[in-house]
Amino acid sequence: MTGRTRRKGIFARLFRALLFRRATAKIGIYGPPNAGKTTLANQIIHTFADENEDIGTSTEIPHETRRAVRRAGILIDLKKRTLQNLGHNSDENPTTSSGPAPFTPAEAKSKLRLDIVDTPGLATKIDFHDFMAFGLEETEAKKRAKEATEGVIEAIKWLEDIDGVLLLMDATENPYTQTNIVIIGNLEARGIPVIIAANKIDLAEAAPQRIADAFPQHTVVPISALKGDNMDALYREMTRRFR
Amino acid sequence: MHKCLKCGKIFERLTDAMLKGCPDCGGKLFLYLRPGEELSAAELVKRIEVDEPGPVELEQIESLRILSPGVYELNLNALLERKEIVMRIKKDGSYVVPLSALFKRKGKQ
Repeated sequence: MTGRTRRKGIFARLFRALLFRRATAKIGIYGPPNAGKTTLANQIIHTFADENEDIGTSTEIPHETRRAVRRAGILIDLKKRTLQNLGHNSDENPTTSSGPAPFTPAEAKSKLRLDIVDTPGLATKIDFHDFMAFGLEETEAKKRAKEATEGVIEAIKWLEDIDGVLLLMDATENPYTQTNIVIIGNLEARGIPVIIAANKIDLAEAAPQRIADAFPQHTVVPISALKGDNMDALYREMTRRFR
Repeated sequence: MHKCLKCGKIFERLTDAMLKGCPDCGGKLFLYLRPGEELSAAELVKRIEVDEPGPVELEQIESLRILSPGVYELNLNALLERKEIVMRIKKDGSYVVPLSALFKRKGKQ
């Protein structure tokens, strides 16, 4: 049964790849709660669509996003990005300029049209007490727990309709979690292209290499979605993998 | 009878002083012995029941466990690999299968 669905998925993807090369890729941003999924979605939208538009709000309370939100029609245009960088570099903080090498002329021509789906955080246990620790009332915390649980199920349902996954992990946390391992195993089985983004590298305790060591079979791009550090490396990888 | 598990001293009955630990050695663990019973260390080890390890994650059929209102446990493996959702209520082995949702999905296809 799963074999058939998987084969169907691969054929559908091949078919799309051959006939609709320029079709929009649906990219899901997945990961555990508080990894920075919404911050990353906002960062991508600010860079390539509308700098005043937010897909959702980010807070320190886990499970802030409890419904999957889709933003359609984003054009990742590395040429535009190169121009933006040229404009910004003069007033940028020189200490953060240790980003990746500028795009090669061939890369700068890369464009990728995509829909972004910001999904609720995947977790194996959701307990309302955790939300009460952030000052939420019991009724509100219980409601949040219920919605977060529905959110996990919704996020998983969306996988049926996704062409590529940006899997976000918090580089300050241990990557060897059940959630990370289960989701990666399942994405591999489904044949969905994955890029792992090791987020929060702006924090001193971040150890993105630990994530790279944990999942050596995948491309791991260290980023800071909040500060926008190393985002070009991620965009480059996205245009390469999600075409 | 209560036996201190640190020094082995036997007390006929519980005293208030024992609530803070064994009056002789300060040990905080006591074993209750039936009258006339004497246990050696080896027998004591035999008496200890080790809980069987819980079911391995893969063997669990439920995708969602509701432990109490507002406390949920999700089996991501089951959620990712199966379309149907099976819920388990608390730990007593009651399961809920949302049939209406399953039939709806079949109808769509």
